[in-house]
Amino acid sequence: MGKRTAVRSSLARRNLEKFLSNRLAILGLAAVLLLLFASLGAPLLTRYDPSFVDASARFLPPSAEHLLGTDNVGRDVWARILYGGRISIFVGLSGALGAALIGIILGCVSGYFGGRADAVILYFSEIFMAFPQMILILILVGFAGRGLSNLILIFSITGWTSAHRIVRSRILSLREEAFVECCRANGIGGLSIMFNHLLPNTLGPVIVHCTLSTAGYVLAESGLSFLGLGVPPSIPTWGNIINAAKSLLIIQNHPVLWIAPGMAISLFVLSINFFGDGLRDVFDPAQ
Amino acid sequence: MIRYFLYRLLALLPKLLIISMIIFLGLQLVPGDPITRSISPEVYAKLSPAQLEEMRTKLGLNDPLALQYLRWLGGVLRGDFGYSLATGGRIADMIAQRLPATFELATFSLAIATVFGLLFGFVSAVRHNTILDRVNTVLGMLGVSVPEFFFGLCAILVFALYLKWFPTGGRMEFGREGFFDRIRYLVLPACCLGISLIATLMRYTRGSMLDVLGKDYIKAARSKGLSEWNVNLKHGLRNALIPIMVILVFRIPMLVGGTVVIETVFNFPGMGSMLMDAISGSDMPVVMIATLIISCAILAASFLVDLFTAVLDPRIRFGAR
Repeated sequence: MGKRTAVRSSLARRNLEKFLSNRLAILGLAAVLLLLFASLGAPLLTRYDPSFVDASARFLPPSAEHLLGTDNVGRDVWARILYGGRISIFVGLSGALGAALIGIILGCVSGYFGGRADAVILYFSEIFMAFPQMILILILVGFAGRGLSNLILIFSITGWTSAHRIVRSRILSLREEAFVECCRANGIGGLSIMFNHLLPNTLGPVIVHCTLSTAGYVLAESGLSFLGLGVPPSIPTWGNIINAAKSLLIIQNHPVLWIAPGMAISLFVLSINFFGDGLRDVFDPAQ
Repeated sequence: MIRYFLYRLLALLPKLLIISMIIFLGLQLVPGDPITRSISPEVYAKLSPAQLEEMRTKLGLNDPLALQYLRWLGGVLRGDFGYSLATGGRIADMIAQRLPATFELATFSLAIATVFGLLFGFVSAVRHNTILDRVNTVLGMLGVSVPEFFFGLCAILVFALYLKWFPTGGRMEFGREGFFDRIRYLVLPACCLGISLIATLMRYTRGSMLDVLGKDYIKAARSKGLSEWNVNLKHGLRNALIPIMVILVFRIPMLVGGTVVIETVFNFPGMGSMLMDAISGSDMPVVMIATLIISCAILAASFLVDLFTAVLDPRIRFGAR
């Protein structure tokens, strides 16, 4: 063990070791992967169709037949949670990626060019932040209507400000470095400097942010679907499953119906958060 | 000091103006006859098409958009928000009814969150790396990971349905509308709304306190022989508070956004549930006006927190442009 020499420890290797020494982060990653594979491999874990309505089997208690019982129209809750994970995770991840993409592009522009472009973008992001994101999302849902792709688009449009701030502040300090001047002296164009030379140096914090905001968007999707404004009810998602349990009668008499999907959301978000925190310690030690 | 306050206040104006423009443009996108938003439905039903056309000219709906915006802004400043599409009631009346409820909820929740968030974070930092600190850290992570509505449903199940300590929802009983009668209704929603803020504040307080406690002036204070309490509170917490206040400003919008979900869970008649009903019913005028009010309230709240930070930190006051 102790024989390792300094020569052999590259940055990537040191980072990996740092990450592996964080037990909570490893646990988080394992749980995320478990939930991901469970929902991708849903057909292997259940033989029920998540949308199959069986009016003769409403509100069945958990049993060997139905692991978590059935809901108000007789759909198998275990199957719905497994299949629901697919959509919930997909929406969260693509929302985070979309928002990061917009943020990165605007951040590069405002960080590298500075001046008026920067001032305008910055002012807009401040205006954006004066509205709560949740309410901005609600308004856009009101205008655009419900739907899977609408939701992802809306998440991306409303969420770009934090990625923008991260990239912008990194690029502002990086563009003063000698290697940028070197690039310019070699006649490399602005766009190339921006995306090939500056951007890769900002990606660490952005990846961390992206991971953590995936958790945020999974929460947001579940909240919206719970309100009945997210993904259409015909598609099972974790939020939509809980949406069925809004009445006091179901809250009291059939707690499994809403506690099980609630636990799934909480577990997934918790694991992503632990994982993201571990990543942050590696990629973004300044934080 | 006063110059700094005035400067901050003036900086709010252009933002408010842009927000109002966005809201106005959003209102223009609402499908349907715009005249139904400016006169009450009873009047609308009585008028003939010719009279309606005349009304339209009189109300200035055929004027250029910029002029209409100015007129609309004037109306809004005087409290004339137009009419709801769904109920036909004046939006100003609806807001007058709902705003105090949400104000109560958000303030109560903010107070709870600030007190407990600072307390837990402070304890975690002072008892750094003990079991207490670890437990706090994991609980804090749970607090930001569990959805608010799930906390809400659990709280209803345990505290309202089984233990019957608090009501399951609503804002007050008919006939018992005093402040202390209402508090019973506020406790559960305010706590559920505040949990994620408690967790966030706790994390930042812990980090910021640890940062400050490692500084040289803390060593100096200790070596002067000041008591541990004195060092931690007066020299530690006071300096740690400034970055925490910045986080608070960023988090207030999230708190207000959370009211939409929490008010729906607890059937609480506030702005959030009004917004929610309006969106489900495609009542866009109500949605836009509610958003306008909410974002103004958030700007005002951030302004207040800014002022508080300036009071705490002389560098901000005197370093101001």
